[in-house]
Amino acid sequence: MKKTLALLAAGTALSALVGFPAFSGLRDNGCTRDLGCAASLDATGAERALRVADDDHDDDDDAFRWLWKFRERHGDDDHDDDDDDDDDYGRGAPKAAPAGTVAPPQNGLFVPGATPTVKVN
Amino acid sequence: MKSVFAALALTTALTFPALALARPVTLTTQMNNYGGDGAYLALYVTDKGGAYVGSLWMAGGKSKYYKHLSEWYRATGGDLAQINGITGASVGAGRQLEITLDLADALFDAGYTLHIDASVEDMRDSPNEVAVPLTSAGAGQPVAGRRYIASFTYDM
Repeated sequence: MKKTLALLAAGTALSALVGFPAFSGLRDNGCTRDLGCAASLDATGAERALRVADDDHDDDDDAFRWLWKFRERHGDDDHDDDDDDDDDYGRGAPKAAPAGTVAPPQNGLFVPGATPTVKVN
Repeated sequence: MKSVFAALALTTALTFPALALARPVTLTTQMNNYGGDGAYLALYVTDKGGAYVGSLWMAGGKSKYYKHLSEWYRATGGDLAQINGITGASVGAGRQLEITLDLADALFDAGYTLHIDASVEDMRDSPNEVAVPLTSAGAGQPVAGRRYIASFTYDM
């Protein structure tokens, strides 16, 4: 009998030792009841099911986030080239005023008020 | 009525010398078939001592490439105020750029030189691709460029 009680006590202690950190981990995620309650839906079951779906979605995001971080770390030449070639305007890079929008500079070369004409053949 | 005629005479008298001191000048740049993207060109003038006087035209709108027009950039520091109102698109291989400007008469036969710096993406920069003295005698005479420009001519 003593031996049985000792085994029971040891088993309980072992279960508590292993189970408590796992229970704490669930609490950290704010989903304390999710796993346990997923199997026994009550009045708020729908809400929990939704949370489980959210968790799946987050997992997917994490997988892609890892890929994005990998690409950022190792560079993506195509993306960088696109930035160089096309995003100049979006970044607000300084640009000179195109011909016809303002008068030419008063550098002594041009007649004041004259507008240049340009043709490309 | 007399005062109207007097005002008209006065404005005409003030305007005529300005017109007489200027002339329309056409700058024609014929590009080579160099097999690359559109060329950036900076056309500018230096005096007889080689000092930068001013810019006449900038072909190419993205300022981040202006440093490749190295002589122009060295003279101006890339100052966009130098090319406000005289900036257009870059010029493709084999194309011809024709610009007509009203330029001061005093530019000709006075030791001024017109320079063209050229640059093409992923190809060698070409400062002083063309350097041609501005003289009445030189008008209409084609000048060959060094790398990207087949010929340059100014006509008055």
